[in-house]
Amino acid sequence: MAKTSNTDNIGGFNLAPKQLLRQDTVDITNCIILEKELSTIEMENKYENLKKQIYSEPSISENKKSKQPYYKCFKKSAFNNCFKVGHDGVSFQINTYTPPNLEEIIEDDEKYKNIPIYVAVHGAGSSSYTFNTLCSHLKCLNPNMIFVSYDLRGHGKTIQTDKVNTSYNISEFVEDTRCVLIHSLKKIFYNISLPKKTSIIFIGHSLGGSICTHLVASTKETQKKAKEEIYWEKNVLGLILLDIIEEVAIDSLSQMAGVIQKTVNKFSNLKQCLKWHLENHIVQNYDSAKFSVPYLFKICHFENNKYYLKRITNLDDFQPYWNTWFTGLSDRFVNCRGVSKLLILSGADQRNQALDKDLMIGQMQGKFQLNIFNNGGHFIHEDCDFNVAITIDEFVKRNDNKLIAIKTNWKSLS
Amino acid sequence: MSVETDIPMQEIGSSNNLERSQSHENDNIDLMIDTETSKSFNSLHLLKGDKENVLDDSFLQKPITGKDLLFDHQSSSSSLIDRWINKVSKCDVLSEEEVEKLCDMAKEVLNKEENVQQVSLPVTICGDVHGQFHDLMELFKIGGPCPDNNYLFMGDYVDRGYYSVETVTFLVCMKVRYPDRITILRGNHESRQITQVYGFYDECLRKYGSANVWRLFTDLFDSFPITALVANKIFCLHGGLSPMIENIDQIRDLNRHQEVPHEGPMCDLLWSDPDDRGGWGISPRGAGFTFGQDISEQFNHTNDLDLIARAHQLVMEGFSWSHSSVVTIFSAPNYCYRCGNMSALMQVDETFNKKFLQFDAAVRPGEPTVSRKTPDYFL
Repeated sequence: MAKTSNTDNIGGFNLAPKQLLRQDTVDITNCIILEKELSTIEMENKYENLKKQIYSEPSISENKKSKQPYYKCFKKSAFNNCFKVGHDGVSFQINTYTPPNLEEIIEDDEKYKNIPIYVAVHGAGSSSYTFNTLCSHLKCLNPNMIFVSYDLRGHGKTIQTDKVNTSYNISEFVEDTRCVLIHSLKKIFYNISLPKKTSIIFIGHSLGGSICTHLVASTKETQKKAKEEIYWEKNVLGLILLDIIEEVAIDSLSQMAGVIQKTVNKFSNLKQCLKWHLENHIVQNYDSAKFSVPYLFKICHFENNKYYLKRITNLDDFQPYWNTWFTGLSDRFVNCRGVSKLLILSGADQRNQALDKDLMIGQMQGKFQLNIFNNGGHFIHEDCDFNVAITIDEFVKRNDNKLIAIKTNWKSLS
Repeated sequence: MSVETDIPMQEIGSSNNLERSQSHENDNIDLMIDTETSKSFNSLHLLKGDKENVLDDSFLQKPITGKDLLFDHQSSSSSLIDRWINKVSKCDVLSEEEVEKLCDMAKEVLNKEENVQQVSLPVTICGDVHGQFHDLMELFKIGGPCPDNNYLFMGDYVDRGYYSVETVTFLVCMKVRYPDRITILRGNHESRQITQVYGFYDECLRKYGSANVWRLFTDLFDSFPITALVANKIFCLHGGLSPMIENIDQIRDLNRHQEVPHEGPMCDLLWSDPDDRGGWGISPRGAGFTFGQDISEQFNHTNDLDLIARAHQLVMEGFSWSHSSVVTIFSAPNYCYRCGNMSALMQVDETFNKKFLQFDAAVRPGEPTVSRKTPDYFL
């Protein structure tokens, strides 16, 4: 896939090229300048302000894309209800969107027939903010929805509180998600039982897809169920995987060392940081990258009044656990019953040919819906944000039996 | 047992090819195949020397030509279409001008056909082919040459396999040459939108350098009939039933000359699947519906039918019964070179006796390497 990038004009700001930092050096001349001797909290607050500034700035791509139908450029974070939940020595950052009139939506069954609850789990090295733009679009398509996303252990604003060795085994991620989900739902619904008209739709990107599949498959299997699980599991409607294929993921593990080595972990300012991620096609859509990329970094003091950005996640930490992440994913996904399934793939790298045997047979037997978008890379929900949102919204409307009765004109069956 | 499969020949065994694919590991596989396409079918005999043990000798006496397969009974006509058939049966492609001419002729033939095309017995009924050209040639060997035998194909000629252009060209040529001997229905992949994602569009671009041939064929697809009725008793279509089609006559009222819609009766006929659950269900595919045994029995009763024959779903044995009177037929063995399934066709004689012929893609020396580019995922 030939991709050209407009190196000097990404996001509408000019940068002299070749000022990219190598992995462990900081370019002093372009460092973030703040007051001296800020406390950690002050630094974080300053960084939040810098992020908000980036969100609200107009971008070049905005002018270009604004001519496209349905184009929307969001200038504020989609999440309006953020909190922390502790579990297993980790304090999880949970970012959610809940409609301001939720009580009315719950109570008025005439006007509001269903409440989709999207539970989005990001991939390794990413964060809950990878779903920010997707959430904004979904909100526009249906304002009466709930969106729950959280930072996996080792990512984003989720922090280790106990000093124990953290495991990044898939089973840990699955238990984390289970725990975060129940706490989030109870918080959002004021501890009352989950209304019948809610439908939970899991959205998992990459590793997150594997986590969600494990979680959904295990709730369908378990005979002895904890009370807390029963709380939500009968409301599960859908399972959506974003650009993840077991065999391709396992193959790509062999190249991960190189990818990690090429990854730049320190930047002297936000614009350089965004520019690097866009130029390396990690995310191709500036309007989404401006939310997702800054969230991957924390601000650190360099010297005097100078500050720089450092990547929060240490990708090396995960290496010993890779072998647990994807094995059996395709089979588990295809054979998971009682839930509507959607696989969204990037069309890059011939991925329409890349389905492994289990997925290929499953798709050809009509066991799940497959959508492929040719105009985006691995972060397909960021690159094709609107199209992915539309696809998800239609998937939910189509599969939610609270919304549809199949129309038929057959007289003989009535 | 045949040795021919649809895997490009250069992938078989030779170390030379191995080196080649390694040195091009970043190239995409289809580009590598393309250069060898024209050789693959007739070059079988070249392999005799080193691969004798795995190849069937009788098959190797001479290269197979379209003539062997198709014109046993008649002298080789010098007509234009016969020349085209001959050419394409060697897995060559026609020129763009020839395709244009072919599509014009085909449109004339197909536009005359009905939404519910009448077919008489005996007939051989086949399912998805999906660009597996060499397996299609094998199918004609197993089922007997056309036009000596009547054929009914239930759609999905293109996408996924590497020879969609050759496959659809061949079938359309046969349709034009023997319009009463072969029926080609429309599948859900005979659509502009689907072919842009699943390979036919890219293949046309690669083999012709432009999308013109893709445009010609996808325009032609709008003319394909959507269902067939064999001797008034066997209802044939690609997908399945529609909650908006209770009576076959309702199909006759549809306007089929359009892109396959996202919903509605025409979409359902090309997308639906039978299901163990009764009644109508939402299809997990995202289009069409699922229908239970109660539905298919009612439909057969209402329309005085014995059987619904359809394709659309991969079935490991090549054919599979659902309900009591719905049969699925799938004619792409080892689908997409990795699924390990058998292919089947259903022969129905004048007295409605049904015979299923199954065939495999051949066992290959070494694994068929469907190589793919490994993306540098951020996991």
